Amino acid sequence: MRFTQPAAWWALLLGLVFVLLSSYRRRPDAVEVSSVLLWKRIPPRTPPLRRVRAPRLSALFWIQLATLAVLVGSCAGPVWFRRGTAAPVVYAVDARPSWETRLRDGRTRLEAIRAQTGRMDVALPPRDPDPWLAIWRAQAEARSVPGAKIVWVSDRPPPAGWRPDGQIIVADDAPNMGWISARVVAERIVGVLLNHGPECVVRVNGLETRIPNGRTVIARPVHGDRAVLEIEVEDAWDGDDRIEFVRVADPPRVYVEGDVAPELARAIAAAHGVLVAEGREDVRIVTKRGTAEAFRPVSFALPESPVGQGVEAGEIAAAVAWAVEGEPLLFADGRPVVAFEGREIRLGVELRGSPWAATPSFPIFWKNAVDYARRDVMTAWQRVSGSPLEEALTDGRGRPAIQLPPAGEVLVERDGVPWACAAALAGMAVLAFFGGREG
Amino acid sequence: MEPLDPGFLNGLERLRWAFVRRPEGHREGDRRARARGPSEEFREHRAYSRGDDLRYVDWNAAARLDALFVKEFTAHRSEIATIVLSAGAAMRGKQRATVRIVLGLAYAAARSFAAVEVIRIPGGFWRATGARPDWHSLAALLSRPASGRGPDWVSLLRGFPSRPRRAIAAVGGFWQDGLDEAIPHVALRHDLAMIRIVERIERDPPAWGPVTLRDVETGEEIVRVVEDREVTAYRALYAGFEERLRAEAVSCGAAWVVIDAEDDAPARLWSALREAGVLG
Repeated sequence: MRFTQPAAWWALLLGLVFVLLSSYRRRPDAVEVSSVLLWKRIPPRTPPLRRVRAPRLSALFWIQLATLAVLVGSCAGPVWFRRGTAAPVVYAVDARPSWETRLRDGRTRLEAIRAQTGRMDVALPPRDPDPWLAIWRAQAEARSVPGAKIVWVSDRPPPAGWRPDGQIIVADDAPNMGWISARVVAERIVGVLLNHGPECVVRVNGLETRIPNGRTVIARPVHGDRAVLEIEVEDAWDGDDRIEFVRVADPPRVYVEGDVAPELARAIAAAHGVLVAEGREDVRIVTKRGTAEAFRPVSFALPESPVGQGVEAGEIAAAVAWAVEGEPLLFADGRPVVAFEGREIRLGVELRGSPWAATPSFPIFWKNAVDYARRDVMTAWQRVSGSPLEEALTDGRGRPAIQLPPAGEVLVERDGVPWACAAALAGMAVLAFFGGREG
Repeated sequence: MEPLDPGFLNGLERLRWAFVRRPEGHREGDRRARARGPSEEFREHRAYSRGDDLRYVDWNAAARLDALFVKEFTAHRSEIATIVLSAGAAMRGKQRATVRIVLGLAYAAARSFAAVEVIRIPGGFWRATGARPDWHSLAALLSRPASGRGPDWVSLLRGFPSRPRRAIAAVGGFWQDGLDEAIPHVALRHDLAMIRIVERIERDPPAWGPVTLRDVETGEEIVRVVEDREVTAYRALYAGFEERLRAEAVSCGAAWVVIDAEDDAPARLWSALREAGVLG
C-alpha cells in the first residue's frame, strides 16, 4: 500500500484538539437524584474555574481519534496493490499481399512485424473468400479471450465490422509519401492511440485545427503531477514539427479530463505496449523537421541500437537530431538522428521527404523508442506478455491464432480512498450514536 | 430472574410473617394514645398495683367492692396485612429489590393473615383473600416501570385508619421530612415495618463537581458544587437522617430495615428481613 498524498498525515495533529478538549473536565448538564432533600441542606458555593486535568480517555475519545485517523488516511490517498492478471493484447495483423513484400534481409513485412511484436499475442484475420464471415469469425475468436484488447495492425483501416480497440496504420503508398506532413504523421500516431476513441486536436502554432478525418483533440493536462498527456503538432513548414507525448505520472495511470476520458483510456490501454510511455519524468518523443542535407536517404549506422532493432531504415531521410546532447540511439551518416536525453527522445527525420512513415518499420520504431525510453519502467511494470508469435501462428496460413491469457500476474493498483471514506463514515456514525447516547 | 421464577418461588415457601408482636418493654396500654376498639377484648380484672394507668381502673367495680381493679384486655391478632410500596421514579434503580421484597412479604402474609393488600403508589392495588392468591397479577403490577411521584409518606401514614388493626409494611426510599413524627402515629395503632431501600449513590455520592441536581420525582433542581467537602457533608447528613428515622421507628415499636438496592439477591433480602424480625 502506498499513499499518493502522504503529507496529509500531518493533519493527524488535529487529534491534539480532541486531547485538549478531553483535558477539560466537562460538567454534566444535570444529575438525577432520588431526592434533593439532603442536598438542599448543603450550602451552595461558587463553582471553581475549570481546571485542566488528565484527559478523559473514554471510548468516545478513542472513537474520535480513530475517526480522525481514518479521515486523514483517506485524504492521504491510499492505494492498495492487488494481484491481478494482465489484460492480454491480441494483435490482429492484416495479412494481405502487401505484407508479403520482402525487406532487404529477406523477411516479409509481416515477418518483421511478427518478429518485433513477438512478445505480444497476434492474430491474423483469415484469408477467407468470404471476408465478412472471416471478419466475424476472427473477431469473435479474438474477443473470446477474456479481457482481450484488439489492436489492428495494417496498412489500411480495418474493414467494416471489425472494431479493434486500437490500431496501427502503416501507410502502404510509399511513392505518394512526398506530401506527408507532420500533421499526417500526427494523425497516424494519434490514430494508433485514438482511432476508435476520442477526437484529436492538432494544435498548429497555437491554433487548434480540426483534422480532416473529423477527429479533433485529445489531451490536456490533468491534476498536477498525476498525469499529463499532451499532443501537439506545430506547423510543418514554419518552425519545428513536433509531436509531443508528455506524461508525468506514476505508472500506469493516465488521467484525462473531459468527456473523452473513457475512450482515451481505452485507446491508451489498447496501445499500451506501443506508444504509451510511462515514467516518473516527462517522456517526449520529438520529431524535428530536417535540414536540406537530411533529404538524402541514409542508413542506420548502429543497427545494434535497441531503437533500430527490426527497423528498416533504408529510405529514411534523416537530419541531425534536434539535440545532439544525450545518448545517441540512431546514426545516419555518422550523425545522430535519434537521441535520448533525460526522458526525451529526439528524432531528426524529415518526414515530408521520407517514405519512412509509410514503411512497416515506422510503428516498430516508435515501439522501440518508447520501450527504450521506458525501459526502467518496463522492469517494474510486471506486464507478462504471451508466448512468442511463432507459437501462436502454427499453420502459417494466416489463420487467426489466439494466444491464451498470460499466466503471469501483475500488480494492479486499487484506489483505497473509497474504502477509507467508507470507514470514516462508519466511524462518524458510531460517533453520532454514542454521542447521542451520551448527550 | 423473573419475579415468578420457580427458584425464587421455592425460596418464598420458607418465609413466615413474624412481625405481629410488640417489641420488648411494650405492653397494652403503655401509650396514652393507644386506641381501644374491636381489636381488643376484655379479658379479666386484676388488682390495681402502683403505676397502673388510672384510665383502666374499673371505677364501677371499685364502688361496689371498695377496692381498685384494673381491666385487662387481650389484643386481637391483626387480620389484614397491608404492604405499601413506592413506585415513583426514584425507585427505578431499586425496582428489582422492591419487587422481590414485596412478593416475599405478600407471600408470607398470605399464610398469616386473612387478607393481604398491596398498594402500589402510583399505580395500583392488589388484594388477596382466598386460598389461592393471584400471584401473577401481583407480579404484573409490581413489574410495571417505576415512574411519576411516589407516595407522600407523611400524609399516608397519618391518614391510615386506626381500625381494624393491621400489619403494615412500608417499602420505599422515605426521602421526606416529617416521617419521624408520622411513624409513631401508625406504629402505635398497627404493626408497622419500615423497609427502606437505598442505592449506593444515595449513601455515597461521587464528587460530581459543578452540577445541577434534579429531583427525579419532583423535578426540583438545585445547583451545587459537589466536591469532596460537599460529599463529606452529605454523608453526615445522610447518616443523621437515617439514624433519626430508625431511632423513632424502634422507639415506637416499628421494625426498621435498610436494604441495599444493589445487593438484591433473595437470600440476602430474606436474611435482612429476618434479622429485623419482619419475617421468620
